Amino acid sequence: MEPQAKRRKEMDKYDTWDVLPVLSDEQSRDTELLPAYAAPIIEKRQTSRLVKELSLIYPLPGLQHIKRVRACKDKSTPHPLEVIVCLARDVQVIDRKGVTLTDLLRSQSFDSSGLGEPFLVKIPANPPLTRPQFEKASKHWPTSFHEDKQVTSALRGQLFTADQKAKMQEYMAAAVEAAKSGGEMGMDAVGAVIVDPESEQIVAVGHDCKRGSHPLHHAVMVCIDLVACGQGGGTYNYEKYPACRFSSSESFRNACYAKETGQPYICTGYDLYVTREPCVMCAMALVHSRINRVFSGAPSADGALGTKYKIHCQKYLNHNFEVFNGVMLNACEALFKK
Amino acid sequence: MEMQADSVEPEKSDFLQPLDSEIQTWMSKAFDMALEALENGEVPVGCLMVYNNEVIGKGRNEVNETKNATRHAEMVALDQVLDWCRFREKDPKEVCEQTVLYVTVEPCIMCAAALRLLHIPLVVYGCKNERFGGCGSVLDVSSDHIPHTGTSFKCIAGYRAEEAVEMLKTFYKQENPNAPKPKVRKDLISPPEGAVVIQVKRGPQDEESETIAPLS
Repeated sequence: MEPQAKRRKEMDKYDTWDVLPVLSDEQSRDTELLPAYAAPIIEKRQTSRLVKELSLIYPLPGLQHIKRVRACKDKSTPHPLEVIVCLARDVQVIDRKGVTLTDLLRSQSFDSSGLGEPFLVKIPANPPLTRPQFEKASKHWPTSFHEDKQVTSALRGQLFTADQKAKMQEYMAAAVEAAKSGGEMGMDAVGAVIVDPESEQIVAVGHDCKRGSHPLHHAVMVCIDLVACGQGGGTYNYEKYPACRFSSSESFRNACYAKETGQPYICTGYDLYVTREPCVMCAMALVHSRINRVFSGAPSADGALGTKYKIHCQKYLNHNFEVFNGVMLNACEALFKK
Repeated sequence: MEMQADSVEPEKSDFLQPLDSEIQTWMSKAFDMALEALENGEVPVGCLMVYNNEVIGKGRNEVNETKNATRHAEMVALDQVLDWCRFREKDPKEVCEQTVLYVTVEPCIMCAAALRLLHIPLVVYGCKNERFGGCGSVLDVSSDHIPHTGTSFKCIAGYRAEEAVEMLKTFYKQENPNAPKPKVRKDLISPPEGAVVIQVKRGPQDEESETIAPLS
């Protein structure tokens, strides 16, 4: 009886937190709409010619996701199809409501037979990246959608299995423990753990040391240097802080890095668990270190992985990574309420 | 409070406007450091931290030798500044608030944040850092409103920029044997050919950044 009760208690613990992806602005933004003119296709046989000629006159650059023609779902409409003629900004008309085909198509060469009089519609300005965006966009005008399955399932909270969540809890618990040890030594209670997800081994554990010897020794910076120590490099000595440690056993290394070069390269392929959302220095340090994924506990005021910046999906940086937050949220929040 | 601020102001603004001759002296030493980095197979960035006309920290990139990707020139130099303070039992914040960083390349996002956290008020740099720059190129950490991340700082940019770019180009022509295969971005615009644009940033309260004549 006892083990079962214990298991139930464990399960309850996972249910109290959710892992949520921190999406890019492009992925999480609301569907922006652009006013456009559409017209009914009265003669269905003219469709392909009309589409071809319209896209020569009005190619709609940057709107490749828009399907030019839509079927009228309502069977009572007199015409079966409708086509986008142009964007409202492509033409200058005085009265938008009373606009005619001739207003829109001044080109002599265009044969508008088969096309009815235009009307205003709103079309999505950007390609939908997530299913919620796709569903919203489609209500206005049909779009193509290349679904990122991972993002969709992450948004549904289904990305991780119970077993994976248990593992996450194990790693974050180690980060919380490190944070507490640091706290007991007078540091800010922030902890971090770097894990090799392939071998499921903890590579480094660190906590904030900035109130000790060095004001830049945030937990993440400590961890990055501890990983370097494990690879035969590193800059600092952490003897004063017994909770800060790294793994560098030969067997472990051989198991993980026989792949390409046989050499580990900084934090490539590793996951970070950190009790508090990293600041901009630490977030960029993770870009430089080529971290694979970051699991973060509680948000922070100037946080750079979702709050103030989204360094992990910043365009023009040479490395992007995935970020999930909310892991053991309550336990992580409790750390800095003390 | 008002009065006190006023009485401090003239000294501070003098300090924030180093003479051309000073810039020349310190930057030429920073370039020597960058060259040393290049000769050691590291990204050619060199820097100096100057306090009361004295170099209290210097650094060059040492990422490869430490296997730690955060060991940029500025981080190395900041360590020396802290050691200098510890040795003399001086308060790091008080010293840093009077220290100028001279660096051959615009600090990256990480280093810009580190400089904020330590309250460095002024950075003089050579060329822009189009790939990682934290003082306007990719992000503007130097002057953004992030009140829990130290204090904003001012930049004087463009000193011997072409030369700094040339050194970077020389480095990137060589292969880095430690790096994994780079991810190529199609939409990445190549940096302008050593464009010398000097911008003076005045922190968050002053939105405008003005362009002044290039230093010669």
